[in-house]
Amino acid sequence: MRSRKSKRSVRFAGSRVSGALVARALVAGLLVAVAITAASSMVTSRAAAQDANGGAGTGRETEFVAMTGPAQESVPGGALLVSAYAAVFVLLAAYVGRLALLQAATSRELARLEAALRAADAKGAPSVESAQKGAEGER
Amino acid sequence: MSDSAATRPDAIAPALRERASRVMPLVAAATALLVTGALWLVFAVAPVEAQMGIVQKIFYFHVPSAYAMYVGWAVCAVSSGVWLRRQSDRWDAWAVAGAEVGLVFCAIVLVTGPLWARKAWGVYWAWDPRLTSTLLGGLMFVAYLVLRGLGAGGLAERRFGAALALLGIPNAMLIHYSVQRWRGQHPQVISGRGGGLAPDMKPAFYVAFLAFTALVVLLLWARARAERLRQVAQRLELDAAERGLLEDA
Repeated sequence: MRSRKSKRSVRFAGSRVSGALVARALVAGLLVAVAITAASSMVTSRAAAQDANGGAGTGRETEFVAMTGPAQESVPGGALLVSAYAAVFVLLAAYVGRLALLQAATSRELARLEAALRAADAKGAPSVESAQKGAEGER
Repeated sequence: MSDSAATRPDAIAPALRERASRVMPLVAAATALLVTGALWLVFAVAPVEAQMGIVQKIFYFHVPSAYAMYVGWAVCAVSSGVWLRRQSDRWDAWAVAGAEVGLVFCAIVLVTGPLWARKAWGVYWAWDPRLTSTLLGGLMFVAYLVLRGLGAGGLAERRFGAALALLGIPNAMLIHYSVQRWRGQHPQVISGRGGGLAPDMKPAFYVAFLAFTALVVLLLWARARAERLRQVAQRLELDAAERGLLEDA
């Protein structure tokens, strides 16, 4: 039996949009609004707490000064530094790899479609316009 | 009018490929040279910082990554705004490229920042205004790409995506000014009332900035080009389907 789902649609920026999509977008918008509200209230309460403490945040760095003499560190930063630079290059390499795969797949698809269209043109297959007219005639 | 309707799809592809194949290797070579130069300056020339030690060198790639993130998201927001007005496939391709490339640099910022923080603050993460707003921005553009990826390229999904991308502008401003507006832990070395960098540190920072500028331009261009080709392939497929050529597939 055919289900009778209501296919209501609304107009958005000049085009028809399905009701289900609008509902999903509203839910997504609501989630974003909740996240923004939660984040801003967290940030505001934190700033207020810092103000109450006489500005604990004033201790943050405002300049970098070059070291003189031999390096002495309480927490060795070498592993953190290597991890950070490795992460930069791994992330960039992964993205370049993704781009290469996307490019290769699209090029293959383009070549296949261009060959199919060229072969159809050579055989005298119907053009898009005549195929559409034929379909309308059948209806 | 849409440029997709104005130009035959099979005529766009060779022109795009030819133009890109001429310029792309030059830009890629310049970028590789700049990145190598930046690495040499960071590790061989720039001095070790007095308080934080060697871990401060994360700064030279962390800050330019944040700047590249802003560039990507700005390209996405501006292209989305133009697309909403003109409905041009070219601007849609740039919008997708901006969102994706911006998100890659956001990921770099969100990975390198906590590694720096572990040494500087003793913890990987703090709900500092700038960290929180950067994470929020990243999640917004994840939502954008999910929306675009799930929607099969429909007009409605593009419109909702463009509206979401435009929300990225106030969020980017929130990220940038949060460090000045609210008292957090994030350093304020090169902006606001910061004392700045030691003179020997400046060349590494400036070359890294140039390198990331070239990198973001290259990635945006490559991604936008791939998206344009994907759009061309999509239209050719539609063309072939309408002519009944894909029935065997």
